[in-house]
Amino acid sequence: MGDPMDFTIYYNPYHNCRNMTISAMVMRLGATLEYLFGQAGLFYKEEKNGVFITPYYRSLESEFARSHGIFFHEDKITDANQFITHLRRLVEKKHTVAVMLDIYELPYSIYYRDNHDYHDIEIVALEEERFVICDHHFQYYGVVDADVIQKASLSLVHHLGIDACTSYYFTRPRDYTYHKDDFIRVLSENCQAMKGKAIDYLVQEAAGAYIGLQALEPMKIRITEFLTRNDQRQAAFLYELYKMVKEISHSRHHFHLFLKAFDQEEIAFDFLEAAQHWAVITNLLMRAYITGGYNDVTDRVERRFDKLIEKEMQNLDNMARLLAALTSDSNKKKRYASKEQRVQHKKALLP
Amino acid sequence: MKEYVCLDLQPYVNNRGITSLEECHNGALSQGGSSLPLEQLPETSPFVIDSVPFIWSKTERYDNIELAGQAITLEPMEVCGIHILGVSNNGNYFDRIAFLRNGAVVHRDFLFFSDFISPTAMFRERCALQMDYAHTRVGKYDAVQPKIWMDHLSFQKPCEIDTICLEDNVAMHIFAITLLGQKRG
Repeated sequence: MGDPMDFTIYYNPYHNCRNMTISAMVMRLGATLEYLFGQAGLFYKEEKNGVFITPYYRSLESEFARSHGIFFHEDKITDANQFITHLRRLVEKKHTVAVMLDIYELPYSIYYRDNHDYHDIEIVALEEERFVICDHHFQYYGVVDADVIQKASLSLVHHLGIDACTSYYFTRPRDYTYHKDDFIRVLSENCQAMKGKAIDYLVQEAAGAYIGLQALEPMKIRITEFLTRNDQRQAAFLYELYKMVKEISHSRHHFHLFLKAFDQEEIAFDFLEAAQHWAVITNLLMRAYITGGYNDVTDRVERRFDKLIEKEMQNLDNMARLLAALTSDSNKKKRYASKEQRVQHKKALLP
Repeated sequence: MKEYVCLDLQPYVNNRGITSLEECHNGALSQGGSSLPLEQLPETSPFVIDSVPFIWSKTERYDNIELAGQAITLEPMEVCGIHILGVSNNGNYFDRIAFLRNGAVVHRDFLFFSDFISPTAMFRERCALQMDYAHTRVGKYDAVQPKIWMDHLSFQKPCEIDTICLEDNVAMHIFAITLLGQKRG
């Protein structure tokens, strides 16, 4: 394992703050990031208080353990003093540990005492009684008092309703070498997800949901109808929508990196183009949010959605064709190996 | 004989991306009101980047095209290459660009621009101009070194065009376009 302080801040505009923090932590353990973020599905569901949109069909933690040899350890502690002691012990044992905090209580943040929201930071060392932290999202590396961490953890419990002060860290017992079968497995799951199959934790959420390509048209209708209504009281919903759509863009960006890691340059560019389409919609939603002119962007969002739908359909076709070619190639090699074994066996039986 | 033709984009400019320090509050290159410092950019027009001439297309209010699906018309010209100066904001973007003659598409390509505050090019574009600081709405910001990028679009064989069609992409901005080719007639 390399020195965890080989780098301090890891900033990546194509990650939310949690995934940025996770990326930094697993990089310190020697993981190669391009292989890790391979989920590019689509799930859309109307809920009582809004909508739920996600490109992910497995929790990152289960995916890491299942497919990458990286193990997630989460701790929830209700007593704030014990929580701080727990964090110290982990760092003393040479782990870097992430803490879930309320951004409202972080003094170096532009949202300090302004806005309550979930935020993750990484504790990388101790400096006497204080914590040395990396806030990757805000690109802040510095020392904070333990009571700041305590207050910010508790604030998440009191204001945003999580159960208890929460931290997590990762372990990676051995190096993991990626093979073609890993690529086929991820490609196959993404194909299934985009064809409409509910996978892993989404199975229990599937009732009333749209999954894969079939989610695109309902999403387009829902978003354009919302913009047309031009209801300024729904600014909070618009902001949540913006964050969810941005995450879809990120997922396609990371899937393009995954494809490139396995030398699939052409289809990788197709997914990068899809990421761009989603990002353009994201930017239009942000423009509406800032200017208050929701209906000013409706037609523009609709036109971009039409290009996006065409691209997503094309990408699924190309992905399925690639998968068929790889699977056929793999099967041929397995059959050859069996035949080779049979030939060798027959030779051994000859007098 | 081939020549460079610098396009006048004044009829199409719709965004303020360059400001003097006195006017930095007018900047709109990013959602937060950033802009590029006038005093760090070529004063003359045309100016030359890598042997290619460009002209600024400034009006009283605006100095660049924020892409919104514009169709830029020009005198018919047989083109073998195009150089475009521009930036993205809030990330690194590319989008399709189409070239028409008499209403029919004769050539398609992509236009690539990294973020104006990106330290390196993310795609095929090159750094054309680099500045020591940006302007925010309240003054100088020297934590970033903004850039204007140059993308070069080449045609496998010369193509006669009279229209350049841009996509609708609020994150991409064009400051100048120079064509290499021959004017018709």
